[in-house]
Amino acid sequence: MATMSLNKINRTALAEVRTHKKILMIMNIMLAAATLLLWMVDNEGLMVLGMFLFCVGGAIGIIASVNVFREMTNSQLCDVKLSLPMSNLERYFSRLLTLAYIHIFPMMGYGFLGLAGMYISNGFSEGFLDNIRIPDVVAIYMIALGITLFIDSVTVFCTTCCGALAESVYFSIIAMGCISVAPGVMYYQIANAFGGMSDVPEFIKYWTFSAVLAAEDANSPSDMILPQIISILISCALFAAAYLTFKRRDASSVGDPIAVKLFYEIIMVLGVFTVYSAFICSSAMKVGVILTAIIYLVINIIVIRAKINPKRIAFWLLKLAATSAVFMAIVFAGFLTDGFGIYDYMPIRSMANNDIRIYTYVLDDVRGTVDYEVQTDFGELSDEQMREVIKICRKYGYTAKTADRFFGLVSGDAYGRVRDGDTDSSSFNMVKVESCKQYKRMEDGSEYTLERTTLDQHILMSNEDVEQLFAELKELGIPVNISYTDYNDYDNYDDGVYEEEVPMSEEPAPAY
Amino acid sequence: MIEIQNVSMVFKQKGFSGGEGFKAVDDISITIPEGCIYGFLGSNGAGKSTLMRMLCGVYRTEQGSIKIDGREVYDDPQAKGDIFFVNDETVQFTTFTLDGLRKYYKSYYTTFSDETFDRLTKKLGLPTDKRLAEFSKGMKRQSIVIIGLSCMTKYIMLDEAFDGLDPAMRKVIKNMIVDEMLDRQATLIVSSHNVAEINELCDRAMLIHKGKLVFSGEIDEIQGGFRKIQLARSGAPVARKELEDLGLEIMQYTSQGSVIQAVVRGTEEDIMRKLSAIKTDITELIPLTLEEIFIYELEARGYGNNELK
Repeated sequence: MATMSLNKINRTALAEVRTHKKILMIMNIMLAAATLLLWMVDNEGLMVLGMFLFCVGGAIGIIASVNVFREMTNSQLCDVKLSLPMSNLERYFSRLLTLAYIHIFPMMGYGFLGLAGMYISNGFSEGFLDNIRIPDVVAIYMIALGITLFIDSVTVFCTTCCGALAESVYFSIIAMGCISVAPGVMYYQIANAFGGMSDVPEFIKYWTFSAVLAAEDANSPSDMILPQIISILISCALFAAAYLTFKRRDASSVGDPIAVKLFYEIIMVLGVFTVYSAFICSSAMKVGVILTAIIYLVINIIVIRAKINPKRIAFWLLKLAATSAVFMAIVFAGFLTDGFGIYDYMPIRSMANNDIRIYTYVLDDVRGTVDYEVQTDFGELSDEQMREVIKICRKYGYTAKTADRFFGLVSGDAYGRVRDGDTDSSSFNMVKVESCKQYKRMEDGSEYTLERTTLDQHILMSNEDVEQLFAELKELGIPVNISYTDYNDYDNYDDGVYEEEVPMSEEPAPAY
Repeated sequence: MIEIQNVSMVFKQKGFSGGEGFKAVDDISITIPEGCIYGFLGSNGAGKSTLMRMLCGVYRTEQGSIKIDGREVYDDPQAKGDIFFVNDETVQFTTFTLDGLRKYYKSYYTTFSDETFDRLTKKLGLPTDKRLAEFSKGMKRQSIVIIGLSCMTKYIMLDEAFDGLDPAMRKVIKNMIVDEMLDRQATLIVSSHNVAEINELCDRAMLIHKGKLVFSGEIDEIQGGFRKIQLARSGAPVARKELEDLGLEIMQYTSQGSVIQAVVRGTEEDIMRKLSAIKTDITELIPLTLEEIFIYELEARGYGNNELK
């Protein structure tokens, strides 16, 4: 019985593929060209074009998914497809298989050919990808697969929740943007503002579209592969969730802009949270609020498809206010708990296996002070010593829970972290060196810029506290090498002082 | 056999505009026996298409039950395998060629008959390699009907399938359907506003208005259940009240001088028996066409405000 059912699913999926011949042809032509371009390892421009075409191929997933599930938004097709002899489960799997045939399989197949060809031809021609290894290729492939499935699963899910073509397209785009951006941005803002840590967990950092943007920062390919596996599993879960709405949908909701109202509310809340997250803890928070209100009203006006009156607009604004209040409540909870406990997690235990540098960071209006740089290697520390370091560092953190400080942090006032009455406040950073980047000049004269990327946590404390902290670290037997910079030497210094910008003094550091 | 029992369907208000839902089908119960041609009659928005879509499993039956040969149709591939549904549009097929449509439906209906398909396409002279977008409306309709007949299902449902076709084309398609259906004792269900067409094509029919069933049964029986009476009486004409007092169910009443005309529900014998209680100069009973019954029934329910006549 199961075999018969699978045969039927495959047979009907192939029948549906014939109805989407154009998408299939476009995909094949474009991806074949992209594959050939990826093999041109001695021409960076052509390779970039090839990668761009693969990205376009991925984006076609939106069109492909919406078209394959067109019966969700088109009443004529719905009449035909729902009257055909299939159960909802068979129909759903048939549609997924159709989508796989016209989009997922071409992306996987051409992606494999393109990357394998790129790797092989790079070995022969010694192209500009001088250090590319098989794990790198696997990581790139996983990213491509993860993003393809992400685009398709989100679009399928949104299409099963929407009854109109327009909504299924733009809600998919909104959902993709929000899912990609919101977790990372929200985590970063809360962690940074209240936990004193600017690091974002790798899973959030490298998932969905952010994998493309952050790929360059990855330490190793394995950093990318695991998040992508999780991302793929989430996409599969999204496909499963889409079935739950798919099986409940009959023709009665076709034509309705939003078929599942809970979905609409969730997307709107997610959208508001994403925009707020992007602006919170910055001086542009007011801009964020205005922008959110405009976007919120515009989407409501588009979706409503009915007469708009002041009462309705007032209702939307009330809903927006309620959503904003929930967002602020979450942020406030983050404030009260020091970034949901992230502060307590500081410094990251994994730092112990890396080169750790502790240095002070002097705020721009604190002149005439001395910037101490303490360099040490925590890699030699035992777990017990590391825990002791964490304990000592936490002791100096300033985590007063006052309204002034909360609103200061939320509105982007970095001094919100500084204890009232402190005069010579410094931030205390703990930096994990993720990768060491350098300037490299090749024999042919070409130059490559490699920069150092770090994960860092910082807490603000007074200079007196910094001195005490250093003393405690020394007492613990941690080899702390300290150098300092006297900023009185810099007359026209305006911006924050960064390690790279300020040459270190050769004078010996004060003794602690 | 199709059994429809106490079926209701409420459409929720679209979008977020609020408001109450719309009851498209309201507690309908009918039985459609095998091998008949059954007509769904009703005004615009009466609920014919909704009911037909419920029969095909396009809408979920939330109240009541629809069983095809004892199986609930919604989400049952076996029950749906016995149905072919032709809706009132052909736009969804325009990208196909007729041959493409054959392949498409063959994937879904294992009973698809290439022999029937070839025979009917040859009979109607339709090109199988041209896209339906290039076909006339009649040719598109013919194509879909050919596909429907070739699927060899037990039941074919045509939702206003003849609308917009010229009389010659209607006749061609109707004859083709009837010939095929009769040959294999299949059941045809047709919905239409065109009462004359239903009268001509069907042996059974039902009338639905505002979602409620007005009547259903064999067309001869339906027609036998209504009469137009003409009564003339010197002096005072026969008043409506007088007729109602006799136990007659008056659907429509007009008087002109001493002559009155009324549309009455009931068999000829029953009406004559009741009329024998009053003295008239002329008593005449005229049978009604299905179209007249349709109009009077709807008029009696306030539809059309007497402008239908």
